[in-house]
Amino acid sequence: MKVPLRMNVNGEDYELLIDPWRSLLDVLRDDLELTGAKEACNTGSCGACTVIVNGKAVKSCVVLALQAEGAHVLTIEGLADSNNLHPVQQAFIDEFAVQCGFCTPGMIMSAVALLDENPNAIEDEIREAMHGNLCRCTGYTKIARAVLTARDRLAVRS
Amino acid sequence: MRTMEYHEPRTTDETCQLLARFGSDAKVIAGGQSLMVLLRQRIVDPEHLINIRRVEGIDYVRQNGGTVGIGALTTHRTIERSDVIRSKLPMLSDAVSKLGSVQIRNWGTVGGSLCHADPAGDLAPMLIALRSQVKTVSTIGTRKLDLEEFFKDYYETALEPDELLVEVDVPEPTADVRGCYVKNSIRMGDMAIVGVAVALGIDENTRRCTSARIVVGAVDRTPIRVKEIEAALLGPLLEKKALRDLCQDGVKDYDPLPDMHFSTDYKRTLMGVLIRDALEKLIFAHS
Repeated sequence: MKVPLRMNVNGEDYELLIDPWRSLLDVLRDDLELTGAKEACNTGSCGACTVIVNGKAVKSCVVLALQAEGAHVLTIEGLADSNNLHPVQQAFIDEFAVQCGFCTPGMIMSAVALLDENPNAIEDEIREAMHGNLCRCTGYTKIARAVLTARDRLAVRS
Repeated sequence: MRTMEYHEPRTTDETCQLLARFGSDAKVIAGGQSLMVLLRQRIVDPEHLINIRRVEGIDYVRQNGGTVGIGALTTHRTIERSDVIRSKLPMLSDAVSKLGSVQIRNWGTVGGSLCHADPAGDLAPMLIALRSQVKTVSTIGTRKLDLEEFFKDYYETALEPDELLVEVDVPEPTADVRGCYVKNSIRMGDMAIVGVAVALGIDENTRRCTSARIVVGAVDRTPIRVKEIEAALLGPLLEKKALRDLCQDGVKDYDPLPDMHFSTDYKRTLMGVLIRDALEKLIFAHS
């Protein structure tokens, strides 16, 4: 049986009819063509699929799509406004925290959720909060630095 | 062509009726942080999927006299950040903070975790060490079970096909009880290679251990108590060397199940080391 799913993704309302076993990641990538969230481990281990649902960072490959019914979903595509990248995105560029880029959308979404919840996070807290996101390229140092830079820039803004 | 019926009950009654009707043809999904992997790989392929995430009234942390009641749909993250749990059951905060990662804890639930019954699960050992009980409901009635009796085998619990787990009840330990959870894994957030939960009653004035519960996960098909070490701890607090020897000797007769990465010998040694680490932390480093 196909089941209706209504959700708001990056500010836009969608109404879909989907198979009940599908994950949020499947629906975002295949039905909404939002391919920023990546499919890597497909087991909830690597975090490349991280998106934000109702303010919480989640691994979309292990979230039943139908559980996003009525929710606000934020993906990497929804961060920048018409003029500027989100400070976390800009910090990742400025601090050279991207190599192959595959972990990057998930890393950024985790960082955005973290800084929303804890705007004064220190490096230990950042590393602790983001250990659900794996990177095979960078060794994490510049990623941590980027999140700290984003933290500082967001603090200046507010 | 894969087929599956989908149900989204809003109350525990509705859920019980669905379970009474479909029994083992149905699978309940709460947060799905364990189940989704199995569902998507078709390792689990139910005719009926019952999404209970919108069932009302079972997402809470409540104090009831001398017990903390945790609703089955309470997320790990809620438990981690709960002031009640931090003050009344700090050792549970400790254990849940080591479960998975933030993303998993944001969506996964205590009820789902316990019903999934992964032998390496991070919550069960501590909840057993704290003498927790679980409450289940069905169209026939309610049951209350000791969590220690709840786990039967790998991924198998005492839950009947028509039953829903609704609450975990944790008696508040007395003021002399301290506890911690020590876990070793390949990466932070991975499943435990060995996970040790300890709850010790210590009388600081007489320097005596008055109670000890040591529960180890990931070494058998269910979490296990290490009763020999528990018994040997009672009485005057042991010095570091005696404690070390006790932990090494106390695991000699255990044969942890090996897995893809780690042998029985490795897990047995690690079990002794982590029990020692936990005990040293509680006896010598406690503030």
